[in-house]
Amino acid sequence: MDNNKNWINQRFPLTKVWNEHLAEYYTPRNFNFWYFFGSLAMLVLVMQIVTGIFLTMHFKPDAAHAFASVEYIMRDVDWGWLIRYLHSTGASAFFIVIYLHMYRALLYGSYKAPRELIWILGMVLYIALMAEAFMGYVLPWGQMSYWGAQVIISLFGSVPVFGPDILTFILGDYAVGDPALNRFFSLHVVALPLILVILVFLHIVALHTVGSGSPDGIEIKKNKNKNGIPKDGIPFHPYYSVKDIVGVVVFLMIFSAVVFFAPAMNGYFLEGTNFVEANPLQTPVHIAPLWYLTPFYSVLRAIPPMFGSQFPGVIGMFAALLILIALPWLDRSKVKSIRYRSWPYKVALGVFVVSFVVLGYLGMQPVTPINALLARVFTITYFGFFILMPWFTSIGKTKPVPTRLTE
Amino acid sequence: MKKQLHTALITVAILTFCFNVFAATEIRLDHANTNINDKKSLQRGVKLFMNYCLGCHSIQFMRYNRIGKDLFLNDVIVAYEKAKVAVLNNQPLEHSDLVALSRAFDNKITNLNQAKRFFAKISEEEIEENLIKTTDKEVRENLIFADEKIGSLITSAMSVSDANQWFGNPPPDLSLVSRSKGVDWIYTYLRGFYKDDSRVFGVNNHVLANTSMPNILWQLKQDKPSKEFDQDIRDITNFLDYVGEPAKLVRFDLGIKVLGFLFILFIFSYLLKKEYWKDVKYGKWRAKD
Repeated sequence: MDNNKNWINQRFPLTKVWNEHLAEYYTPRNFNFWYFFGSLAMLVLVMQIVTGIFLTMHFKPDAAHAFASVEYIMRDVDWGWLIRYLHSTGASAFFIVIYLHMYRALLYGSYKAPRELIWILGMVLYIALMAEAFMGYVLPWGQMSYWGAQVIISLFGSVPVFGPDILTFILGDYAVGDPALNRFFSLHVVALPLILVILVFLHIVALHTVGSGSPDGIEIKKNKNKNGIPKDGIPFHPYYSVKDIVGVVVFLMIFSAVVFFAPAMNGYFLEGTNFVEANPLQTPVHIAPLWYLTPFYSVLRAIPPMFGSQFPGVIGMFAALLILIALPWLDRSKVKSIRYRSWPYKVALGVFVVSFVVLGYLGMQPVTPINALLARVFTITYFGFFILMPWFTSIGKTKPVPTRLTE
Repeated sequence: MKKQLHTALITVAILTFCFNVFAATEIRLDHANTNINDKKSLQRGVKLFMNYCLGCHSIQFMRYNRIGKDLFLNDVIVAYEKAKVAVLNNQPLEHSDLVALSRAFDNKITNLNQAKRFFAKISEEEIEENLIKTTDKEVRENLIFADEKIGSLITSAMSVSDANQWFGNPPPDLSLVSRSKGVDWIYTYLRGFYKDDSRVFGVNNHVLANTSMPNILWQLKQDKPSKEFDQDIRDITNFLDYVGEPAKLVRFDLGIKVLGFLFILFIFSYLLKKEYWKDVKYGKWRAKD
């Protein structure tokens, strides 16, 4: 056994990698509930790739056959229905996990120095994931696939001067059709998963270079014993590997409950309209993207057209997404964790969460005067959180941060 | 200019008000109260569908033999098991037993001794094959009216061009109507026809105004009390719910097994975590200065 290990170690740093990233990777011992979602996101990514491989074996990326091939998977392929539900539920689960993972960063200041690069890589991951999910949603070629794509892609058409040319370039046609389906398929199964996997790798390399943060916002590396081991740290493996297994099992229980008992999740995970084949001649009464994209869709609709162009709304939508990247530099607070933050930050974070959730809800609803007004109000509070952040993070009294972990 | 702007604004305000009013007058749907596990209801539903609906509507993602396997095979197996017990115990065979055994041996069985002779020379696998084969045969005889193969997708004999001429647009495929509209919609729609002489077919519908579908079920409704008619509609609705997602017949049971397994796994994984974390709480990783 040892001989085999040596043989490999002379040719590949197996033991070194194992120790650096697992057995001797020291993590704060007081990780709580919010720290489960990083490993869960990896689990969901793997599950999406594996189920995706099997779906790809049976799916036909052809506007004439795509819809029927999905139904063929649901009926005639052995266990096809299960694979498809795992994949469709996995998409929504991915975003739930990612949103909770990002919220953890807001709670404990995980994005603050020295973890800015981890945050930026994570944001790029998030944007890539949105593109991946959007293109995946087009593939079943239902009415919502078709018209959702039509609406989102037409946003690029609102770019001044070059808009129409960009649109044709993206679609390979003048409207969403077979060429778009083919290229979205290619991007969805090859390009974007590759990008996602590489970004996850970089995200983790960056994390393991600085080390994990803690719910107290304390750097455990500042307090080492004479062997150079952080006094408040415990090795990731076996302590957090066994703890994450518990998290994985609980997650799988909730996930399976959805897959087996409510895979459509009352229209939130699989929309009823998408069980009607795409028909370019018949626009659905109400077009909305799936729930995970709706906060940004709401911002898009909240900003009125200016100078006869929808472009300002498009800018607003992308700004709402990209402004998150600036978070590490907008936050001027001396402390990281919500436990020691001043009250203005706690209030602002509360307002931000409410804004995000309400915008998400409104994005699924048809536009009415009251909805439009609400969307505008919460778009302002959403951006307010970021624009006012340098101010409200520097006022108010923060609590003294202990030098060692509190639990 | 200013006046025009005012008029425009008022028009927009009135229009939005109207849209809201229309949005508020949603059609109230009756509860279908279907039960996908009610096999008898599904069996009645498929018969009604084949007789009343398939003339115009296809269910193009469904296959005939799938219906045989999902809705009828189980009854056939149960009847066979009962007959088998009767033969083994030398009990007198009822007519239903003889039918079940005839299916199992794919031969006409008329008495106990004949059945015993077959049992001696036929394997369980062959019996299973025969049960599937004869179920398929019965499905072919009772449910397939056109010249279709047992593994065929269930399509309507009506051609699209005829349909366009007769109804203005082809009757939609109903494979997924339960998923796009929901069972309550189907149940209310099929019961929602009323007399309206302004329409070509003399009827209109509460759920889908100006529907181009004639009230094809009027005959069914005519000769029975409304409660029975409602049950007929419920059976068709239940069948369409099954057609929308055949996996619905198995996924609930499988889900309970999966959750049971995960629950046991949870207990073990939690105990494992607890055991390891003793090191952190009391052992070598306890925080000491």
